[in-house]
Amino acid sequence: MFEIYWTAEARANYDSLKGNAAHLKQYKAVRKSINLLAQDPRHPGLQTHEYDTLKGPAGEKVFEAYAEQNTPAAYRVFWYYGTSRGILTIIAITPHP
Amino acid sequence: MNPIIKNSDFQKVASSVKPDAKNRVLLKKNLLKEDTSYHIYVNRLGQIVLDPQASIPAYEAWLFNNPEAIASVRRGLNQAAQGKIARVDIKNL
Repeated sequence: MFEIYWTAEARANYDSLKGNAAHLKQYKAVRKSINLLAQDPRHPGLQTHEYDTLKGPAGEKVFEAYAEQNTPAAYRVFWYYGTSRGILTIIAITPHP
Repeated sequence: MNPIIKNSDFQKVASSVKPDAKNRVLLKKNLLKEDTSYHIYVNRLGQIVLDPQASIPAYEAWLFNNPEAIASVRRGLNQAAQGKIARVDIKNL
């Protein structure tokens, strides 16, 4: 199990979904993906892959996980391992166009 | 400022360099990065600018073509750098 941290940005992204009835499906998908990240960041359902063009604040590898698949405007979760062992930090949660 | 020129603080790195027989101008090795391609610009005065281009994997390009998404990620990275992070209460998410 990983302990999950998030930035104020990621929390605001999440809260905007949580408080919006029109985004109930996306909210549930993102919540499920965060739970999966805590259990296993490499869970096949997340399709986690590294982003070559992004680095964490201390040069950490940044990963993208899919909250939804085969869905228009699917949400993606950007995260990195850290700030220390057993911790994973979510940078932002954003829709894919 | 011309949008191509991001910083006008140019320094002379070579003088009186002439093209070779094949019209090639040789540049010092430390000016060039391996695996980098360059856009070449020329103005009416004949001044030439090489603009290095970083290649982005196709599957990552969507993020950089989506101003809102990349702005969100950059805000998140800045906050992480400033230590503005909080523990997620998974059970009450």
